[in-house]
Amino acid sequence: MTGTGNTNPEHPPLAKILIAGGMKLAGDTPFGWRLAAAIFGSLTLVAIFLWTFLLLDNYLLALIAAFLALLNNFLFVIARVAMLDVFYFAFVMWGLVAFTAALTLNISIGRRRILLFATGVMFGLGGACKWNTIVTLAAVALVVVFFYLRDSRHLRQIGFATLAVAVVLVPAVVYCLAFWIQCHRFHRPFTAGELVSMNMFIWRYHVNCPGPPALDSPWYRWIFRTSPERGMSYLMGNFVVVWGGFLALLTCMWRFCRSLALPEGLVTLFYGVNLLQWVVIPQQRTMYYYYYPCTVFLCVAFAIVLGSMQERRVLGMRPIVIILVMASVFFLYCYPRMAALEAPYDCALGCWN
Amino acid sequence: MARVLKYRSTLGFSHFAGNQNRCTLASVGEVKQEFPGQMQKRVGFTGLAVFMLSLSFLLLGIEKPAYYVMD
Repeated sequence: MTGTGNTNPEHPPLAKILIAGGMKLAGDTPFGWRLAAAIFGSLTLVAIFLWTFLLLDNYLLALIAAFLALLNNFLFVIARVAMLDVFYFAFVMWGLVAFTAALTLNISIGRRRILLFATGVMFGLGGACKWNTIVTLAAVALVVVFFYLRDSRHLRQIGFATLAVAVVLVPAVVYCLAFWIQCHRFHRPFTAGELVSMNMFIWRYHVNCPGPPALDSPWYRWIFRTSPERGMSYLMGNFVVVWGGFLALLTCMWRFCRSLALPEGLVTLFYGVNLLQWVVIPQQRTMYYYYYPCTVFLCVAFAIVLGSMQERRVLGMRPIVIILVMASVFFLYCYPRMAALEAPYDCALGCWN
Repeated sequence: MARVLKYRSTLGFSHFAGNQNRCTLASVGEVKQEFPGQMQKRVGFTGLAVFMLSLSFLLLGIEKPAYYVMD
């Protein structure tokens, strides 16, 4: 923003441009640093609501999924710090909204094509924030190939060339255009060589740079982690949402194996690729907050399973009500630490050792 | 009733009771979903409300100088 050069070249530029936009709007203050992240966190919640609604055609369950996402602690923390994950994942979720709408809505082929192009644009913007977008895009491409081979969901009518352009070419072009803004700002040539050079730096940095040891946490410990990440706003997944959501995800996986149900299949696939990417990514250290995208899919899985339990009663109450109350209580318990409330409010609901 | 159930199953409804309009990959015919106008408005307004309310909530206390400090 000050024109002093790119001091953070280890990631693509778009998320940093968005943070700079917030600072331009609200000033170089703590509020300005975090404004854009909060806006994109809210946009993510709207996308979760719409995506769940498209999958389940159920207004209440869509609201529950969004509410659980707000209470899962990850979204609250990530959307209140100036980090890149909230930006890339907001674009990913909006890409999934467009993609799922193209698959499920009763609309013309032309509109389906437009939605698929919108999917590509969103994933391109997400990739221009952080490379991890590519795993969800790869999963989307897998779903496209699956339906195309099965001659289902109108994908044959849309045409292979259009699909390839929407899922491969459009994201790549949008990704490259984000670098144009950076090159223009820093008076660098926008050439193929420059693009390759900048992206090679990103790759080499992440392969070779170990990252902060204080935040190091291997991926297999994220699922049932019980200690807060003190170095990052005391981030700790809401046990009710992330553990209950994990059980719900296992249920979804089982249901998908039995009936090939689309909602269950998509949440299982997207959770799986977002978690298991860390098995293959050659990065020396991983952080707990990388679990954030997975927790969002856990919320949708939870809503799917709760939807099938609407007729049941536990202690005379609906399971949905019990889960929402328990999740709210846990969130409130964590809130003073996550929001860095000052004394005496920091220990209002119990102090953490 | 059995014929109805069989017909519904060929349309790809995975859970006949309680979960209508569930799409499956195994569907023979395509399951159509279209927002009726009223539902479209309701979803749109709810989306806007989710955005405004969550943004207000996320912005609460965000002006603190530094609140994710290593300890």
